Amino acid sequence: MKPAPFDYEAPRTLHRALELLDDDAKALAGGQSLVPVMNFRLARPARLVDLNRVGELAYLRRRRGRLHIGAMTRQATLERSEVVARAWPLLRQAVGHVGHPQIRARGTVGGSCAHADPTAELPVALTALDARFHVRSRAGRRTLRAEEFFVTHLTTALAADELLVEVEVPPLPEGARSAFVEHARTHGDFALAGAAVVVAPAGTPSAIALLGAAATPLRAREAEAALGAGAAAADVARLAGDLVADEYRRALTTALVRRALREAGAR
Amino acid sequence: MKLRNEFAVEAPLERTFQTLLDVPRVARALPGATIDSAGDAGAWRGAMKVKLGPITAEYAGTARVLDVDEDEHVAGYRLEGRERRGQGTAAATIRTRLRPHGAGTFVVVETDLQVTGRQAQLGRNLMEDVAGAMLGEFAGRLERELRGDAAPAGPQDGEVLDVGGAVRGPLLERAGLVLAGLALGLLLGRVAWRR
Amino acid sequence: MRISVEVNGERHEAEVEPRTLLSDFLRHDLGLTGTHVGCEHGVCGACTVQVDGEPVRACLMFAVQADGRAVRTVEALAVDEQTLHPLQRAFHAEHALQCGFCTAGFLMSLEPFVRDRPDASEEEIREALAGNLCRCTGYEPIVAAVRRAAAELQGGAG
Repeated sequence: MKPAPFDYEAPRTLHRALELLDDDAKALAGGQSLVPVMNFRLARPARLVDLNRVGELAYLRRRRGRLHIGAMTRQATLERSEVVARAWPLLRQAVGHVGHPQIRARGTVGGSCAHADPTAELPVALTALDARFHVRSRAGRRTLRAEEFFVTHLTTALAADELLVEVEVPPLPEGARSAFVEHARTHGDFALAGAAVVVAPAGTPSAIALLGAAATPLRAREAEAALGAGAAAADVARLAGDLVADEYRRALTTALVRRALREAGAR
Repeated sequence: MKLRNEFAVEAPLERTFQTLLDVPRVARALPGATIDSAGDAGAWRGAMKVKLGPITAEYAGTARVLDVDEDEHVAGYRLEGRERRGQGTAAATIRTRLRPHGAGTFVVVETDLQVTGRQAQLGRNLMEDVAGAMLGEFAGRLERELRGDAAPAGPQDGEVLDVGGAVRGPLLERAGLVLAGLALGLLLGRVAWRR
Repeated sequence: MRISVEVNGERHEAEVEPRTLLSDFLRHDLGLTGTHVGCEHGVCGACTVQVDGEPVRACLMFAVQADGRAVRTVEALAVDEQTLHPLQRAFHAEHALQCGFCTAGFLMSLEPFVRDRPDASEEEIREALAGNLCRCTGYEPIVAAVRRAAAELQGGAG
């Protein structure tokens, strides 16, 4: 099927892009999630604001220990980055599970977050990493935590005239290890369940974020506390799995969390 | 194949680092390279003309900064290109690492280069030596660029990277320039090196 | 909207609606029907082309987004009718195509892969193939063709 007609703008600056956003417009980033729904005519924006020429939104830099990901950073760039591989290996592991190389060549970090599919890998990994989401509009700017940014299925806290411009990630605690696991029926398919874990040394907080367990990425707080208190991986995993209502997915989540914990060095 | 080159410039670290992040400025300091236009977000489209003896080749493609570590002064770049007339292709992931060197800056450049095509094959040693010899040209131009010299340091229309001329030139001593190494790699169409 | 796109080294000027997909533009406006259309939602990979050197789904890009860019389709692989690309020769030798519908998409995805990862293991090759679906071959001969092409490109025959 082909999309319904729309007006098309390709601004070259963030300022111009913000001017173009309103209730009838939709921002186009990598298009790997938006264009399929437009092809099916499930979405019919009156205007598309193409961000692919806004150079100022594409950057990936580490500054004072924190990672600044411009919203238009391609997933393939995240995958190739030495900075990310060294200091935020969880992101690299997660992005490797996103679709296929052809998807990652166009798909963006910002686009994946703004699309907010609860089975998407990057939102879950960024939630585990306590990322901050920087948002801009003509009126000003604000910064949101993951719990504030992701609202429900395919819905974020972004207003119609707002753009996610950057995702900022703090450094991992010294000595922390991480792992990302998921299960999908076929490679590149939407995952049924998954987990991003950060196992930090005693005294610093660990993180367990679940994929597909709820309408948004979900932090398993009770499981995290148990992990910090020295509970065994199997018990921690069970606590995390208890958050999932469906019987099959609960068993799957529990197994995946346990696998991730083991991979990240927890016993 | 993996290439490693290094050079020093008499310019402070921060300014050198910022300049190396500016792809059009870097291209201006590299003979034979031109930037045509901005590609999609963060990428630049450009071309590279290379000459070795009677052989000339021109490659067109894209260059982008992959990632930047401001704390460690490391930057990653991704270049890919294809011969305008012919079937040769090339791709490179380049990492530059900077450190202070007296009042100036020492730059280490690591290149992971993959090339396909049917150009004449010269040995890896020759490629490395010539890459080494090319650095003088780039480093010298970069230094002038950094000093803000008025004279245009970059290529004019029709300028090419004259590899033979550079080898014969007086600047053989300085360490290799990875971009020249890339250009040479593109010219020679060296296939991916078995590591 | 007026666009100017470089396709297989040639510049093309055209007038298109914004909603025209790149896949349809290549096939209908430029007559380059080597690129095939399967699912139109980015899953099957039959429409894979290269834009500025990267393999992408042509069904998930609008032609207007290709303005000022360089697109490469399967028609550019062979030097001429007599001289196939090593990947094409390998597909032929290993019977890696039957109906041929998915083949263009595989070739455009694999060309950068065999360049960047000539030493890829079987597992890595299969992972790289995951973005292209084939209903005929069962993938075994495709994996064999990748190996064969990688070996040939490494050997320097070019």
